Amino acid sequence: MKSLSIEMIYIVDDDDAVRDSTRALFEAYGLTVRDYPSANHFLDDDRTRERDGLSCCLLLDLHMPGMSGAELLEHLKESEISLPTVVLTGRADAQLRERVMRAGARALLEKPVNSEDLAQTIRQVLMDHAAD
Amino acid sequence: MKTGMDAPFKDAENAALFQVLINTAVDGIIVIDAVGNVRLYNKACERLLGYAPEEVLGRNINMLMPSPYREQHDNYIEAYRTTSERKIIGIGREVLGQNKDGSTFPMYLSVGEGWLGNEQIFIGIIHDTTERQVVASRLQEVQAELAHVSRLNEMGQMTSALAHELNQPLTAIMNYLRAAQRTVAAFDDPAIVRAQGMMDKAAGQTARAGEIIRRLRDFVEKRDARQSHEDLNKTIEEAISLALVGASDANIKAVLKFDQNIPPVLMDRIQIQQVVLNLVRNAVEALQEVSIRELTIETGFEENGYAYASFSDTGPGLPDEVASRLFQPFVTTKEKGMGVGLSICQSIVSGHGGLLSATANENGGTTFCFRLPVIDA
Ligand SMILES: Nc1ncnc2c1ncn2[C@@H]1O[C@H](COP(=O)(O)OP(=O)(O)OP(=O)(O)O)[C@@H](O)[C@H]1O
Ligand SMILES: [Mg+2]
Repeated sequence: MKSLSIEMIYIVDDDDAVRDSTRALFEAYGLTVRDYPSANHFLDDDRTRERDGLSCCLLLDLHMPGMSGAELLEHLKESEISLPTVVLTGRADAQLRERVMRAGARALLEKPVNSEDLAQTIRQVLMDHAAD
Repeated sequence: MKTGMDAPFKDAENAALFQVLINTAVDGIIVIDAVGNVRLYNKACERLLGYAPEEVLGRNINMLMPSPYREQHDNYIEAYRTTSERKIIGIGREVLGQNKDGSTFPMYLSVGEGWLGNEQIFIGIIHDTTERQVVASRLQEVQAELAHVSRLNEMGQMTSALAHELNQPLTAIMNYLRAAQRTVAAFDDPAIVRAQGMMDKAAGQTARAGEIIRRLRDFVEKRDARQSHEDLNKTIEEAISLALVGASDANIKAVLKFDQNIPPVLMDRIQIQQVVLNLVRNAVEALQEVSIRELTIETGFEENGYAYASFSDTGPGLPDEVASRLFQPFVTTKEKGMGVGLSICQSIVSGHGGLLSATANENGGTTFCFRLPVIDA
């Protein structure tokens, strides 16, 4: 998880323990974390607009009540907000992967994710994002 | 036709009565002689076998049987006459007959033996069981399929749901462990180093638990993953006919309003039928509590690319205590319910990228509706 040149991580997940533990993980590495229990909480938070110019990344759960992860992705795409996003889900088949990627995600990981894979994926996603 | 002195009929009447009996019998009656030639062939036989009497009388009865019985029948008679060992006489059993048009049909044949003077005869009575068999075998098929579909899918879906539920805490455990390790990483106290090692092992075991769940899920899902483009109406119709088996005496009126212009929907047919089955069963169960029992099933296609099917009942509506937790597992108001039906529906529909909803309808009942995205072939 070292040398993650990133300043802010957003977490959107309806599971309290997953959210809190992910926050703990990234904070332990000195990153600023903002977490939200639903897609709507995320969209309602004005502070998410501060991110302009920051290098940041969204970790998004797919299965949530209310607006699903996929719908949030589509919403972001429509609003032309480009935020590198890693989708986390309990199951990731080829079909779902395609749907999620089409909606604008950069990567899809299966839970439980080990932290090395997560760090590696975030690094890759940020690099891809910078290259675009 | 000899009768005793005090018999109720005179000889002439007996002869007439004999004709009436033979020809009004619903079952086929055939008499053959000792070598198998037909001596009597009643009206019911004409209907069952398709031959007129003149085509059969005097000829060997084996013409009315399919192979291999046709070739062997003479031997059967011969064997009986030499050994007197009864295979069918006085017992009766299910056999196949052959109609003039070549088709075979199941029948129940009972055979009796008698003497006309000193000539030995055999009397066969044929009961057509076609109708009964078709109904019985169809019912059996349907029930087997129903049981198969529900069991496989409930197992599969429960495994998937369980896997998902367990992955959340496992993810959290893994994250907390790595966060804790990082938090104390700067200290090189020997106790902390030891604790680091233990946390590593704990993380390893967490990964192992995740791996077990993944394998289990792969195993269950490999068998289930059969996606193809299907006709939604047909899929639903089949499932309804399964779901309503045994509900016919529940006095429920089912109304189908199918939109015939829905494009094919990419789906796992068996899984979607499982959804329909659960929704219809729930509706049937809810309708037991009311006197007007109607279930309207409607399909359609929305502009936004979703096909839908809705199930509206005239039941009592959703009980307050379940309404907010409807799709969670083990929520039930039924004595014998597991409360998994709707959670399975929910996980199947969302696995298809669709949506399941429940709303109160104008009849005081409940409308369940699922929408599935139509993805071009
Ligand atoms: N059509 C309906 N009308 C009224 N209440 C319903 C209807 N469908 C479901 N419910 C309510 O929702 C509860 C949960 O339904 P669900 O199908 O998940 O479980 P169940 O039918 O109780 O048990 P199972 O399906 O596992 O045998 C039911 O117990 C019932 O109270
Ligand atoms: Mg049910």
